[in-house]
Formats: sequence, C-alpha cells, structure tokens
Amino acid sequence: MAVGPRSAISARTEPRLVRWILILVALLFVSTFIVLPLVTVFTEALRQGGRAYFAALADADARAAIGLTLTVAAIAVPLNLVFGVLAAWAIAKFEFRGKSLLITLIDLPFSVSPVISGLIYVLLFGLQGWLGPFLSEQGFKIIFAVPGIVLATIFVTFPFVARELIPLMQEQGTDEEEAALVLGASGWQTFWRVTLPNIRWGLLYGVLLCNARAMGEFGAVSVVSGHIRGLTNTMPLHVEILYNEYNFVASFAVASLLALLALVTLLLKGVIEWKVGRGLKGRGH
Amino acid sequence: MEHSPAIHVKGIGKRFRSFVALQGVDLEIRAGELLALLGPSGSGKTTLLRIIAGLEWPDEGELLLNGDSALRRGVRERHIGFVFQHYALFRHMSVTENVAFGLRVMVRQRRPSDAEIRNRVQRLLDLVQIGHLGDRFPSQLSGGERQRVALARALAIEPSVLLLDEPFGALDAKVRKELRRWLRQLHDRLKMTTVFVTHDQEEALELADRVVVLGHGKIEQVGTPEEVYGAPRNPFVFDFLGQVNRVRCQVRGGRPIVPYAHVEQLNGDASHDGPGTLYVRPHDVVLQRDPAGPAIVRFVGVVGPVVRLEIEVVVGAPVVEAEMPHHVYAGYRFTAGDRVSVRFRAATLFSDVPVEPQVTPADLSLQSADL
Repeated sequence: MAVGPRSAISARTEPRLVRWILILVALLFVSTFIVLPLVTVFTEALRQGGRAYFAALADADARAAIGLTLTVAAIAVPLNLVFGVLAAWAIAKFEFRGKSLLITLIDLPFSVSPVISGLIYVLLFGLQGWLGPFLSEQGFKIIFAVPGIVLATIFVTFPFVARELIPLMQEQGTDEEEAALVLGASGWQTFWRVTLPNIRWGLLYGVLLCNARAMGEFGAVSVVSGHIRGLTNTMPLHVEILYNEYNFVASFAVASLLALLALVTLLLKGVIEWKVGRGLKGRGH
Repeated sequence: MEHSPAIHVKGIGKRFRSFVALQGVDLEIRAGELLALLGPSGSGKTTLLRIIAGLEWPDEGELLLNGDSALRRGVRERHIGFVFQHYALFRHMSVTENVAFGLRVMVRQRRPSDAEIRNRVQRLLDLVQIGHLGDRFPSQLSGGERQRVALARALAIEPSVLLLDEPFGALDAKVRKELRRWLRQLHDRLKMTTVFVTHDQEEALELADRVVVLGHGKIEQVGTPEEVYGAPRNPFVFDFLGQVNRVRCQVRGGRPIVPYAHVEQLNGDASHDGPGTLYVRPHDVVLQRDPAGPAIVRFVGVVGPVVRLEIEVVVGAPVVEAEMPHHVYAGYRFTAGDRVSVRFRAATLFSDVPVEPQVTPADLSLQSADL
C-alpha cells in the first residue's frame, strides 16, 4: 500500500529522457509537416513583393475562382447545417428501425475517397450516367458545371455538422424538451428556445469545420468540375492549374488565402472550445 | 367537481415491446390530495405518472382529468405541472427565465405582460424561498435549490395537477428530509392535487395522504399510510413496506405451526392446511431469557433509536430480526450467545397453496367456525 504514491510519482518523473524524446519528436514532426509548409506558402506567395501578390489575386480567373468557392460554400454549408441538425435530432432523440444504418451512411463520406465521391456523381449525372441524358434533355447541366461542384461538396462535407451534434444531443437527452412541452411550448418554440441554444457551440464548431472543408475540397470537385477557367474552377483547382503552369507566385498567392482560412478556422475553433470549457465550469454565457 | 375525481385512471395498460409496464390499472385520485405512487424500479410508477402528464400514451384504458377525457389532448393542452427527476432545468437560462418559460410561450392573447411575468416569477421564487437566486444559472445551484426552481417553474402555469417524479431522489439525506417537510407544508397551503413517484417507502408513508403500492405494473394496494403499513394486503406489500421477517410454517387446523415460536395474534387466512409464510415485523418479535430456549442471540446492535437483535432459530436458517426500545432492552441486557425463547406478538399468514382461493359456502362456514 505504501508503495502506491511513491511509484505513482516515479512513474511520472523517472523516464525524463523518454519524456523529452517524445516531446522533441512531436515538435519536430509538427514543424516539418505543418509549420514549414505553412511558412513556405506565405514566403513563396510574397517572393516578388506585395504588388505581385495582390496582382495575382486581382486576376480575373483568380477572382472567379474565389467567387465560385464562396458560392459553393454558401450553398453547401447552410444545407448541411439544416441536414446535420435534422439527422442529429432524429438519431439522438428518437428510437427507430434502421438508426445504425443511418449513422453508418452519415459516416460514408469520411470513409470513401473524395475522388470516388466525385465519380459517383459523374456516373449519376454525366452524359453516359443514369440521370444525365434525361437531365440534359431538360436543359440541366450538372457535371462540368456549378451544380455538380455543389453536389460533390455537399456530399463530402455532410458528416461534419451531424457528427459534431449527435454525441452532444445524445448526452443532453430529451428531458429539457419534455419539460418545455409540458410547460405548453410548441415543437417549434421548443426547438428555438431550448434545443438550439443548448447545441449552439457544437453547431458552430461543426459549421466551421464543414466550411473549411467545403472551401478546401479538391478531389471530388476536381472530378466533376471539368477545370473550365473562370467558370468551374474553385480555389484549390485554380491553385493546381497555376502551379502546373509554373506560375508559382500566383499559385501560392491563392493558396495563401486557403491557408489563411485554415488559420482563422483554427482560431475560432480555439475560441469556441474556450467558451464551451468556461460554460462547463458553471458560467451561463 | 365534488363527485368526479381530479384524476381518474381506468384500466390503463402499457407495454414497451415485450415488457409489460402497466396492466389494468384503475385509480381515482381525489382533488386536493397528496398521493404517492410507491414501488420498486420497474413497477411502472413513473410510466403511470408520464401517462397522466401526456408524455407517454397508454395502449389501452382511459384517463379522465377533472371528468374530461385527457387522451385526446396532447401534453401541451393538459395544463399539468411536472417536476422531472433530474429537474430538467433549461441550462442556458437563468432561474428567472426558467420559471418564466411557461408564461413566455403562451399564445399572445393569453400571455401576461412582461411586467406581470416578472411579478409572478418573483412571487413564485419567494414562495419556494429562493427569491434571491433569480439571476443564477442552474449549474450554479445546489440540488435542493434546483428542485425548488423546478417546482416554481411547474407552478408558474397554474396547473390543475402537480406531478413529481422521484422529487427527492437526487438529494442527500439531510436536504431530502428538510425538503420533504417543506413540500408537505406547501401542499397544505396550495391544496393542489399532487402525485409523486417514489421508491422510498419512508418518504411515501411520511408525506402522502394516500399511498398506491405498485408492483410489476399492477396496483398491489391503495390506502392511507396506516392502512398499507398496518395491514398489507399481500406478501409483496409486506416485503416492500418496512422491515419484515419471513418465517416458513405449516398450517394445520387453522393455526400456523412454528416449532420455536408462539404466535399471539394471527392475521391473514389460515383456513388452508399446508405450507405457508408468516410475516412478522421485527418489533413484534418478543424475546425472553430462557436457558432451555430454542433460539440463540447472534448479534446485538445498540446504536440507533432501537436495539436490533439477530436470532438464530434453526442452524443454517435465515436469522430472525428483533427490535426493542432501549428501556426494554435495559431490563434484559442480552448478549451474543444467550439462549432465548421467542414469541410473535403479531404475525400475518399468507398460505402457499391458493393464491386466489375459490370461495365456496363450505369454505366460508369452515372459516367462520375457525374464527
């Protein structure tokens, strides 16, 4: 019995060497694979000075790519927000047949390569696909057009909100909703006044990750886009094209915007985690 | 109003898949009474409460609230105050907003003005004695305070009936006792029909006007605390309410035969010969020092309001528990190893043989002859 505390201390203090090696390895790994590339993006983008940097961003094709990326995110993220809340609500608060199947399906985009996801849409909506001929007769163009990019992006990013909310809502249970109903609230009032405020931070977190991925998605979008400059090029695709044309400054300039997005996302994520942590310690707001 | 009960449960049945939660439950709850639904877990007591509230729907039966059928009305329209076991306070709202919730979600025509809401909330908080905590959030409150907030929130909509699910279950013993007394006083003041669910017999017996004992989805007995404790109708109720010794015996000629004990007052039906079980409360077990006695004292516990003794009557058989006041014990000073004789001052017999005996005229005459 007396050995207990002593060995507990020694378990933490004795392999000092091991501790330092682990920390060193982690730091080395992070700086090589994350910090270094990030720094490279910005140094390459600014290699020829600020003027060249902004000129690259002001280019018509670059502006079109930025515009398209924002448009796609503006459609995909709200849709996935609504879908994610609905799916999480259904899974967390009700018992029904096929629930585990639904959970598996929600996870599917995570387990499938994005390129395959893109191909699925080509197979469905392409000219040789199942629905393609019918849709093109009606005058709808999905593949190699903006709708295809939006669809592929929605597919790839739809787990983010749902995955974030399901465990949260499961943990919170249905007690508060029942209490609201007993007190005379309608389903709608219950959702707006009780459910939504309870999940707001988790929801924001999910939306943030969803947005980051929607703007940064390459594989699936690449397959369905057709790479038409000024029309179906999103920012990641535009970065690739510029790079392949040895236009490194412009390429890295556009890439730096995506890197910036990542940094802002990281920052907001940190803020949300801090907020939630504080909330758990007993502060309401 | 005088004639129709506040809550009338008629033949309610409910199953969850293969599990039968409630079965043919009939119950009349009088206006203004404080009623306890008492039973072990799985007895269906919470399900019954939730059916009354409209949070659960029965598979069969009818429910009347103040004489009107309630099953056609949803939970919103029943106008019932419900206090959840874990309070279910809205965690992102202050205490004031929690209590105001039921008023704020009313349709505009019926919703009081903001000033009126503020007034009413403050009055309610004062009523439950937490007037100074309005700005706190639920996570900043103690269990007892949360309970009071939950109660104030339920009362805010001026419900016709108040339902409480294990109201003291999540509290420590001291707070529990205090809050129990306070709830009783509050009920006496508000005179609101109140039903609470509990698995704690002491709580039910101390607090309620009437107790409904539930077991396996059925009502085992309904009565005042004195009735259910003093005259349990069946072994289940006996087991569930208070400490009891179960003594196996043989019934012969209208008397239970226990080799080591004399039964003074016998309750129950002894008309059927055969094996049976005597239910004896520990305070009805009387011991006498007797060197030739059939039983041996195995344990004496003097701590507490009464002295508790354990008696070995037959080697290997379950011990018999006895209780006596300290002043009685002082006259004997039993210690472990003493030989004693045993008397049962009162015991209730439940025969093993017929659960629902077919009563024939012959049986009746036999019974009365024996009595």
